[in-house]
Amino acid sequence: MAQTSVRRGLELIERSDLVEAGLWRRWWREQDINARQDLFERYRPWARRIAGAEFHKRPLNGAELNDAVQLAYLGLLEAMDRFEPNRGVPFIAFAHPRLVGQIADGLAISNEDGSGSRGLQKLKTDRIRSILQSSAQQKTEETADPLDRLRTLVNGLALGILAKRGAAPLSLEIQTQDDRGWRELCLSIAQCIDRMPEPERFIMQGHYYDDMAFNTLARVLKVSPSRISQRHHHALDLLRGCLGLEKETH
Amino acid sequence: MSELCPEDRLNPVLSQMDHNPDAAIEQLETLIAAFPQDARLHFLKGSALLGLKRYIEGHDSLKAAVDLAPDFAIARFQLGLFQLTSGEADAALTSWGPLDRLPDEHYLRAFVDGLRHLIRDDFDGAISALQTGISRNEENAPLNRDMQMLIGEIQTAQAGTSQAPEASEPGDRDSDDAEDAETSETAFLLGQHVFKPGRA
Repeated sequence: MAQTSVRRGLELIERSDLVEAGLWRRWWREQDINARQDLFERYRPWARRIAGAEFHKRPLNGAELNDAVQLAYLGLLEAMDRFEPNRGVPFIAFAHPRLVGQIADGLAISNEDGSGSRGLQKLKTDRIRSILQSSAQQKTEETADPLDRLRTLVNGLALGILAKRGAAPLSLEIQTQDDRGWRELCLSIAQCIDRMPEPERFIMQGHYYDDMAFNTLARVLKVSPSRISQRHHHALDLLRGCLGLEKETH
Repeated sequence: MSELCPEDRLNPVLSQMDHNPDAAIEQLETLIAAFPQDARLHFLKGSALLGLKRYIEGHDSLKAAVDLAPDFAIARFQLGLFQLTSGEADAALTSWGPLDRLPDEHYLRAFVDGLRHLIRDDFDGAISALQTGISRNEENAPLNRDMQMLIGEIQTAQAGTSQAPEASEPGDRDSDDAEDAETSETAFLLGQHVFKPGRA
């Protein structure tokens, strides 16, 4: 007899179309942020595919695929905010032209002003600021030990690189014992992130697995980008704790 | 005492429910305007809407039925079942809570027990309780068919294969009735298949 994975009871009874309708109801009627987050995560892969298709239709002019992806996410969020789920129109039909328009307009602006690839630069800026922000009483830049800040930044960025690898740890090639250890570490990190409370899990996976900028994450969760930065900082502390590393203080 | 829709105005709607749900909904809206406190009308409307995949409105109507008549057991059960299939297990458990006041031998008690077992991944307990409910239920054959289908899904999951579900055991209520849902002329219970196991 073929062995299959154990199915949970709820998996036997839940229906995807009803689950989605429930999410729309809770977001539309009750402004349930958790429902909004779940809807975004449902449609995020589709938005990425649209971004890829639209990106490859246009000359590059310095823009990167990630720019189109971020624009698609913004289009997705706007469509989610405007969608009325009781009108009988499927969401994808409603949202598709909005995503395409957002991508087209955004890339056109990018080409006109030569700003090209802002997306990845923004990610790096978000990350660095968040890592250097202290959860304790703030020291001024003048009094903070520069070496301590550099160490904090390097450690934080290293964790981020490992977190990014956590998106697909099994894809890492094993050729040496070091590779095996590296893959196990990345797997551990992925598991740590998966077990984080919300919204830290969503922020870490969105930011590191999906290159979502803090302002996009903020729009999904309806909070300020600085709040996302704080939660990201906290998530890195949680990750350190999960891995048995010391918490950064500076 | 709230006014209820007379049976002679309700029965034509019941006969429309399966083959012309759009017309049934229109008629129900007219009746609801005349008898807004009749929970049965909201329940029927909710069931018809769910059949048309108008899930948000259907949920609202089922909820209205239960809000108007908290002791309307079948409506409360169907609301909870709909919530459960919609991924809202906590809401389902809350909706079902008052059903614990039904007599121990009531079939809905057994069905709710079965679904609670299922939520906890206790498949054996779920099958046992659902079969108990099926054996006790003499008034709602379509609901028995739904629960029998669910038992089949659970058994398939237990077996870990994609084989067809096992045949009913001797003594189980016969699930091979006519395909169309049976609706009593005088009752307001609905043979609506809210639940179609596992598939979108």
